[in-house]
Amino acid sequence: MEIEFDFRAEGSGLFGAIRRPVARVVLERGQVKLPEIFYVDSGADVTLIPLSVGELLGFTILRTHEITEIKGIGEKGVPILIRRLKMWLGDYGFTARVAWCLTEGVPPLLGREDVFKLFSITFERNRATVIRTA
Amino acid sequence: MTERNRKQGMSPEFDFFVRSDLSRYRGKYVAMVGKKVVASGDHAKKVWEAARKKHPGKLPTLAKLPREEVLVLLWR
Repeated sequence: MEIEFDFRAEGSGLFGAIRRPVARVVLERGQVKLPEIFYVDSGADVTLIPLSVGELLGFTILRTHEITEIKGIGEKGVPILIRRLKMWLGDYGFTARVAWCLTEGVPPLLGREDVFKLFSITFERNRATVIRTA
Repeated sequence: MTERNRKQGMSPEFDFFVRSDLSRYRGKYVAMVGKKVVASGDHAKKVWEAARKKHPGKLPTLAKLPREEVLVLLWR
C-alpha cells in the first residue's frame, strides 16, 4: 500500500505561513468509526488524541493512578492515559497505543510508537507525506 | 512506485481541509462533509453528533485546528 497526503498551509505566529504534514486516519472503537485529521509528527514519541475525541470514542478513566504525563520541549506536563485503538491508514488497519490527553489544548498528533515501525514515511519537499507499508 | 501510481489519501473532506482557509476555526473542532464545514465547536463529541444529525447516513471527518504551533511531544 502506498498513500499520499498533501501538506496543509497554516498560519504560524513565528514564521507566518507554514506548511504542515497532515493525514486522514480512521479511528475505530466498537461501533464508532471516526475519520480524523492528524498532524504527522515524527518528533512525537506517541500518537495523541485530545480529551473530547477520546470521550467520543467511549474512553473512560477507570483508575486515576493510570494517569501519567508527557511533556513538550520546554512546556509543562500534560496528563494522559495510554489506550489501545484500532486505526486505519487507507486500507491498512492496525492497533496502536495512543495517549489520550486529558486536556483539549493539543491537536491530534500521529506519533511514532506502534505506527512508524509499520510504515515507511517520507516527507516530500514540504508538499506531501507518502506512507508505504512495504 | 511512481507518483502516478500512488493512491491519493484525499477524501473530499481531506481535500477541502488542506486547501481551505479555516483560520476562523483556530482552536476549534470542525466536522466536514464533502467540501464544507457542517459543524464546529470546542467539544469533539458535540461537533460530531451535530454533524451526524445534520447529515444522517454520512460519515463526517473531524479535525481540530491548532491555535498556534503544534507541540513536539516526548513520552516520559
